[in-house]
Formats: sequence, C-alpha cells, structure tokens
Amino acid sequence: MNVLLWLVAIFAIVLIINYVNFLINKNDKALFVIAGLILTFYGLDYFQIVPVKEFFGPIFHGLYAYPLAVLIPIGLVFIVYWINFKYLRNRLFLDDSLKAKKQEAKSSDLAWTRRFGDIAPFLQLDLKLIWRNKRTKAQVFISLLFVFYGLFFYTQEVYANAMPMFAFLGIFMTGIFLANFGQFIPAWDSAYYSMMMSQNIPLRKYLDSKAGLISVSVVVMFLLTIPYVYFGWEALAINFGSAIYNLGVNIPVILYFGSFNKKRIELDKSPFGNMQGTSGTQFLIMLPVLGAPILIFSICYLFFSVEVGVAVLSIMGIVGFMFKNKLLDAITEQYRKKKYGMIAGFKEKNS
Amino acid sequence: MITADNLTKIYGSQLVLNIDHLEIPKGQSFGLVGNNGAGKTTFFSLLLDLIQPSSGQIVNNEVQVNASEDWKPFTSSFIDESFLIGYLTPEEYFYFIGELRGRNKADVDALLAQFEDFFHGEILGQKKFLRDLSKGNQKKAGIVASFIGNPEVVILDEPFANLDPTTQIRLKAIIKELAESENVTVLVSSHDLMHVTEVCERIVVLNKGEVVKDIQTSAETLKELETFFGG
Repeated sequence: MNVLLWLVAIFAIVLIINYVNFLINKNDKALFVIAGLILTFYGLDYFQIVPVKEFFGPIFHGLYAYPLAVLIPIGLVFIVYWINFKYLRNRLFLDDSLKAKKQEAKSSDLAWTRRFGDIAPFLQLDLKLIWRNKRTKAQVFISLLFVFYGLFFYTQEVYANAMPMFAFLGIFMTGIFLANFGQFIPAWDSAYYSMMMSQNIPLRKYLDSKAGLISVSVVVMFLLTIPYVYFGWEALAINFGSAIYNLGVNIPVILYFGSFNKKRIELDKSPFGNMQGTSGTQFLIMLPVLGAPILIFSICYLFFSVEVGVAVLSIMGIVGFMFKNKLLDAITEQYRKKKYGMIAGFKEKNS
Repeated sequence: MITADNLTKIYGSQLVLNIDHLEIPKGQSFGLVGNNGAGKTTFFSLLLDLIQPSSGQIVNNEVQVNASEDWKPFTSSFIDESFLIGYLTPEEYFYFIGELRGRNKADVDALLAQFEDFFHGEILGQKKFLRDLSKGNQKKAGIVASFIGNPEVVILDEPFANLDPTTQIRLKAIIKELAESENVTVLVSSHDLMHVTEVCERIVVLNKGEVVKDIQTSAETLKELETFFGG
C-alpha cells in the first residue's frame, strides 16, 4: 500500500514538473521565479547556510512513511494544473493574440553619447537597436551571465593548473559580447541596409561606431572578471592579456568576417534557439577569434611561462591597436566590395 | 543633372533594363511609368548604387554613382520600407536622417512643421515605433524623411501607392512645389498615370526594360498614355 501510494506521489511530482515546465515555456515571469528559487536554494546549500540538499531525502522518505502525505503532491498537481488552465484560457482567443502588442515607444535622445563626436548618431542607433529588439537585448543579458562561466572552471581542482583553459576563459569571458554581437555585424541592420547604403553615411563611421561599442563591452567584461583574481593572479593576468588581444586583434577580425554576412535577421523574433542569420560564416569566424589566441598563449606557456603568454597576447593587441586605422580602412574597402551581395542577401526573407 | 549611358542590367539571361541614353536636366520633375517588371525600380536601384550595372553607367551631377560615394550628400530617396528603421519612433528617425545630412533638431523640426497637414496628426507624437505604424503612415514618414537636408535629387519609388486619397492629393501638391520652387530634380515612378501626368513635366515610359516613350507633359499626355497602356 505504502509503495503504491509512493508511486502515485512520484507520478504526481512528475506531473507537477510537467505543468510547471509548461508555464515556464509560456511565461517569462514563471521562469524567473523558478530560476530564482533554484538559485537561492543552491546558494543556501553551497554556502552551508541551510543544507537544502539534505531536506529532499527525508521528504521522499516521508512520502513513503506517511501514506496520507500523498495528498500534498496531488493537491499541488491540481493547483498547477488550474494555474495553467486559467492562463491558457485567457489566451485562447485568436483576436487577442492577433491584437498587435504595441509597446509605448519612449523616445530617448541619449545625449551623453554626444561626447563621442561624429560616431554619436550611429552609437545611439546601435544602443537603440540593442535595447529595443528582443534578440539583441537577450544577447546582452546572456553575455553578462557568462561572467559566471569562470566559476565552473576556476573552482575545479582539475583545471587549477591548466593555463590554456584559463586562456580560453579569458578570451571567452571578455569577448563574449564581441562574439555574440560582432559575428552578426552588419546583419543586425539588414532590415534597412539599402537605406544605410544610399544615405549620406560614410561606411567608415558606421564601422567605427560598431568597433567602439564592442570595445566598451570588452572593457566592461574585463572589469567584471577582476574578482577572479581570488583564484590566483594568473587568472587576472590572463584575462587582462585576453582583453587587450580582443580589443586590438579580435575586433578588426570579427568586423572583417562580418563582410561575409549575407543572411537577413528579423530583429523582433525571439532570441532563444534562433538560428536566423547563421551560416557557415559564423563557424569560420569562431576559429580565428577563439582558437588563435588560445593556441598562441598555449605555445608561449609550454615553451616559456604564463608571463610570456600574457605579454605576447598583450603585445599583439597593442600592435593591432596601433594599426587600427589602417585595418579599419581595409575593412571598409572590403565592405564596399561586398556591398551589392549584402544588399541582395539581406533582402531575401525567410532564409 | 543625371545621365545614363549604355545602361543595362542582366539577371541570369534576362535583360531587365537597357537604356542607351537618358538625360535628366537639373530641376526637372521626371516621371517613370511602366507595368510591373518594366524596370522602374531597377533603374532607381542603379541610380542609388544598390545594384551593379551589367554595363554602362549613371552619372549624377558629374559623379559616377558606382565609382564614388560623393553623390550621397545631395541625393535622397525613399524606395520601400527597407529605408525605414523599424525600432525608432518617427521623430527619432527624422532626427537621425537630419544628423546624417548635417541638420540639427531645430532644422528638422522646422521642416516637419511644413508637413503637418500631410502627416494628418498620425505620425508625430504618437509614441509608436515605425514598425507599428500602418503601411500608409510608414510611407508618409519615409517620403518626408527624403526631403530633409535640402537634397538636389529626390527619388521616390511609387510614392502614391498605399496612401489614402487626401494624402495623395497633398503629396501631389508637395512634389509640385518641390519641383517648382527649389532647384530640385524629382524622380517619381508610378502606376497611376493620372497622378504622374499631374506632377511631372516629363514622362518616360519603360516597357520590358526599354524606353518606349519620352514625352513632355501636355494636355494630351494622359490620353496618349492611356491609349498606349490600353492598346
């Protein structure tokens, strides 16, 4: 009898998870609440404030020991089911979902961007692009979350002395926005690319603005990773070298590869699992952007030391920085050459 | 002002545009008519260097458009929605265009004030993004944006399509005024023979990529065009 009821309870729990999952899929608020709860529990457990993990064993045993407790999961199933039911019911009517969701547009003039001189209008446009479109906005949050990526590795003994791994983390964490946002330049502007190409826009200014935006992101990401110095000075040094390398070398590289983008991106589509605009180009980009610096660092580390690796990355970054103007000129020329292909490609919808 | 020579555009094996010689003098209001696929948009796209000519070239005010970018400061255009930035409000869009053309907010505001009638209270101060406006209103915003910064050449592809009758009439007045009072070359394409004959001093008919008629507009022009397209 107890076993049977325990099975029922487990089944009820499975159903709860199923219905909760359903809610999460449809509703971001639910997602945040659940994610928040899990993070809090995990945090409480991890920092040994409350041993949350140890609670679960007795709970499951309790379901076995007190058969009547089966009512609790069953009750929960009904509650979650009812929430789902109400939620979906409200969204059942076609005209509701057809009614275009019109956010009230808040104008902003972002006057502070003025100090960047003549790239200001483009910078403003890019900031609005990022802030007012789902997919780009998500990229920013995802990038910020990747700051915590280091925790997975720095905390594990296995990687404690694997310096090439640190180099990967450094390039990756300081360059995540560079990679995520940069690889789709100029496809972000694909919806109005013909206008950009026929308006009085110097292509160079357009690229300068993108480069500026990514530079800021690299610096910010580097600042955010400074606390990792806790895991050893190497972490900080490598992150620093990586940031310089990203600024000096990877920004021109990613802008250059951007000129191969020919796939349109609809900005207002959901970001998750959205492969729009992705093509072989993106995979090709990742090789030099991520692979090259790690390889360079690893070689320097194996033959010499961490210091040499960091120095070489930094020097390469500084050299890239010195030739920034030349490089951007060459990239501008490349964009000019590819212009017709891009315009034609960006016009093709549903690809 | 604008000269096209030996201009052709070939897609695959299909010749979509073939113009031996076409000259548009400064200040002319120039109308381009033709059925679908006649090559109107192709011609405008070539003029804006959005596609590459298969042969020949277009020279805009002594600048060969596919060789230099120097035509951009004095040329403006509205071809289709891809000239609008969906996530901006109309105001932000106008200011952005103004900025590109060296006009500050006050200049743009002064210009917009002239188009209050044309906007009919549906564009400014709506707290909506351009992507949320109706097709007609998007078009209004795009057309007016192409007047910002005193361009010498204004290119409008099918400006009358999607507009309500009142707006069409107002647009006609605006284009006429633009062509008369300032030294502006206006290029308009249209399916609507009546509008185009009313607005343009000169009308060129394209058929399957070739110039088949080149008329100075007169009282008989509309008849002539109607017989051409009707027969």
